Amino acid sequence: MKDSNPYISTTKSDRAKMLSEIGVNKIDDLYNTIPQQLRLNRDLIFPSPLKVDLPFSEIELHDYLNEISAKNNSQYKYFLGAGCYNHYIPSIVDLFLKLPKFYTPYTPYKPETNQGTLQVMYEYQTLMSRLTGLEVSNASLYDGATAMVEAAKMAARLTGRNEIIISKTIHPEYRQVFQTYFRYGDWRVVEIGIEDGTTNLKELEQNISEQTAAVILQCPNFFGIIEDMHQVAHIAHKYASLYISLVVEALSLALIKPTDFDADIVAGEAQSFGTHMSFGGPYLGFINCYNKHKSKLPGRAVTKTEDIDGKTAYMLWGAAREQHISRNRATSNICSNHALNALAASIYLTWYGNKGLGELADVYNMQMAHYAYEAITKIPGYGAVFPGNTFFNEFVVDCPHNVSALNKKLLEHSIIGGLDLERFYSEYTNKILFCITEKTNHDDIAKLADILTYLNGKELQ
Amino acid sequence: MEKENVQLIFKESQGGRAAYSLPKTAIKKKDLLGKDKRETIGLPEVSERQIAGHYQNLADLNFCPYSEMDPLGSCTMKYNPPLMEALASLPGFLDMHPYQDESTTQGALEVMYYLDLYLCEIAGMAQFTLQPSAGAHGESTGIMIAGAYFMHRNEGRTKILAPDSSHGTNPASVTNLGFEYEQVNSNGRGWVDLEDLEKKMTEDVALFMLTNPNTYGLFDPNIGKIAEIIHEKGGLLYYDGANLNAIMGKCRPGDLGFDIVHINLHKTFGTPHAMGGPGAGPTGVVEKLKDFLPIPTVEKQGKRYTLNYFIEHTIGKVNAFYGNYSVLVKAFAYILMLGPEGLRNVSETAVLHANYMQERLKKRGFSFSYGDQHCMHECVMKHENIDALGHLLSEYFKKLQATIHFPQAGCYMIEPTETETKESIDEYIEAMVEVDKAIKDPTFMEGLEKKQPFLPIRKINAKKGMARPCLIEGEEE
Repeated sequence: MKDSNPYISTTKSDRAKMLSEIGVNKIDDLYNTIPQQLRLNRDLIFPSPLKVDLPFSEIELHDYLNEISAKNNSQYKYFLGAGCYNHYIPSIVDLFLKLPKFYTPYTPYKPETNQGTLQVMYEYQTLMSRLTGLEVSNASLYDGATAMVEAAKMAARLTGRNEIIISKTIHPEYRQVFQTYFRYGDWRVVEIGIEDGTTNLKELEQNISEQTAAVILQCPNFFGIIEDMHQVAHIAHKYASLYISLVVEALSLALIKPTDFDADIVAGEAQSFGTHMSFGGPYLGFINCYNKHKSKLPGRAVTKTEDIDGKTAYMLWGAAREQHISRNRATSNICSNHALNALAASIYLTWYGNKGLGELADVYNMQMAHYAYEAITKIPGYGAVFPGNTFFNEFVVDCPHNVSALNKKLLEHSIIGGLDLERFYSEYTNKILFCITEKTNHDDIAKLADILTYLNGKELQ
Repeated sequence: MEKENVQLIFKESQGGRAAYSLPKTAIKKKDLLGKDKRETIGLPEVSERQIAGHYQNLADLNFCPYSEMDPLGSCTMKYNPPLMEALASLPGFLDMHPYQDESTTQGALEVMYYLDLYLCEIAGMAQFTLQPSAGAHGESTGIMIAGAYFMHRNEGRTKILAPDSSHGTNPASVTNLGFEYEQVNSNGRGWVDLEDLEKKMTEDVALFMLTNPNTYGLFDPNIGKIAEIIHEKGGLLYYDGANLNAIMGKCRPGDLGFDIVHINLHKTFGTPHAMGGPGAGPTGVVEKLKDFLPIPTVEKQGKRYTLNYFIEHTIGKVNAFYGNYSVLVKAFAYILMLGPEGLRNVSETAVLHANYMQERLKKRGFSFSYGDQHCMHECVMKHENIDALGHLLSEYFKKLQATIHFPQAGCYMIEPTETETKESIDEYIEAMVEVDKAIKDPTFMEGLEKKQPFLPIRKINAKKGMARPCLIEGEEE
């Protein structure tokens, strides 16, 4: 007969010995500081999703979650991106994320017992900074949307200004997160409109002022289009504002280096680097900056240093910026971060390496997306919505059907279609945002084009 | 030979090596970016064999909570069951896009629906948002909910209070959202100083943030009175759920008078800390605050689960999608595996272990800040040389250090958790006794220093690390 559950080793006899050591008769005596009338004098009640009551055995639990997870067929072909990208993840990434020595330890506050974690973070920082061209990276944030918030607050601290300009070509849910946070405190957030799929630069020039802390531009933008970053940086710098380059599809960094376009801060989402789509999270927020700005950097960062014998060693740097030391004067409240996703990114980037990542981004994403764009825009009714722009791995086309009706039809063929743009932009009805990655090959694109052609002119329910 | 444990991956790089493989393609390449295309990236070029060796060697430098008790107070470093890792990695969960059709995501939504119900029952709340990524993110969410609630009522409340013993994230969350932070003192017993609270609880205070059990590991018995003081002035009471592991099935924050609660799934519900994260910080509210929760929430309509984007006074969103989904699956599975009795057993055993530790250590001559009281799931010891104590435990006994210098300088906050064995607790105590002897007596120290150290480096040169930061590796010419 078991005394306890699988994760507790304390037997009845252990319990008796411990209670006698403490000098009480029963465990409830230890709770004597909780006033009687405030205690829960009953069992917790958990309705069971199955016919059997809780607790489940390991077998029942496995069967149950296997069954409900299988309601999602993992064999779908995805033509859907919009801030979450279905990239191939090398087996070695998943394997190392499952090593207990990586997934169980705490934040590396004590350097001597966490050298593995600290070196992983140091290498991650180096990899990210090489991608962005900047000099400093932190060790991770939650996701791209909160990274955008942190970057703006950092810019406000650096400039002493309280106005932030953001473009409407930024992921709509990122803007929603942004507006949620900036409702509190003394802020002015200005959203700049769209012209032909990119940020309206005239409107930007009309709105920027000496009060503007930063201009935030997503590139590639929500429609997949590569924006005129040079021009935006130029306008921002005329007013001594910072240009924050927001990157949501991090794989684009393999082809476009934000510092080539004078970005001051690069922040965003690196889910593309080895993190599964996993229904929206956990992902990998990142932020990079110049050395001169690092005292205002949010979150943890690792420095290389030495031990007292002069041997190379790693430790956390700049705790004075962080919440556990400076409390209400901290640069951010972030404590738990997304270190395991940063490990995934490090292994992923190292696996592709210098040549592989460029080839993946160029041939299997950008070139392939242009190939798909040509194939799809040849089909009557699927005209280009923002012609003349260069895009990375996503593009917008007209849709001759109601987009959700089309997507329901595609689902019958195990295809997850593109995003219905109207979901976020009421002005764009019957427009679809398709995404192409290395997991959608020529055959998949041909199959999609065939189905679209076949459905053309048909009434969809 | 270089003096380092594991060479940086960049130093293993050699042109011509690569780990990746990509399918053959007949695509005709075009020049799409022209001069805007970057030149080299600067990533290392290594084989997969080298990558495997590198990361295995790095992992080996970490002390692992699987092999050692990790009694970090306030962090709840309990055992993370492999079952939960396996379940969260089911392909149906992992390979799911957040925007795919709801008919395909019913399983995922079912998990969220039930997890919300269970957390409500545990915390005594009306509804949870599962969106926040971490405890501090839950705090931000809770503060924004309180802020929106008072804006809606046209009450300009600009201040938020928290005790001096609160986690650093509390004041940081407050000021980062533009509220004014004010500290409330603790009394001589480690509880909230009621007089000070009454003085500071004015009508411009939105929120009092409290951890209960608090960071001294004590349950504040005046919680009923505290709630009264806050509510009388129209304020809200916030529960920092960092220490929830002590009270599951014993009492519920909602019944204690709390209005907003965040729960750290990576503490109480056994999801791993993963070197710092990802965790998850679901945030629950009482009935009157439900209409302010972030969108979307998960609802059940008949037999169908659906994401609800229509919440009347919603604060908006705190994450791009729905939260740290994989972490939610693990916590859900954990609750199903343990059930009501199991969760209560978790809390009772955690409290038993901490009290056992406190009593044993007291008998061995260690002193405690509030040793005259029973502690909850953690106990706070005092020692004149806490840094040496923690370090020597790791260096010569392969023990993980507890939380040091918190909530006060010189404190050693020990949280053994329910998943440790009595034997491992006893062993930790014996190691502490040995180290204490060495600190106090040079002859014992000499004996200790003859032992083979367990650490891969000696003591860190922190002064140098702080003064001369090197945050990235330079590229070699």
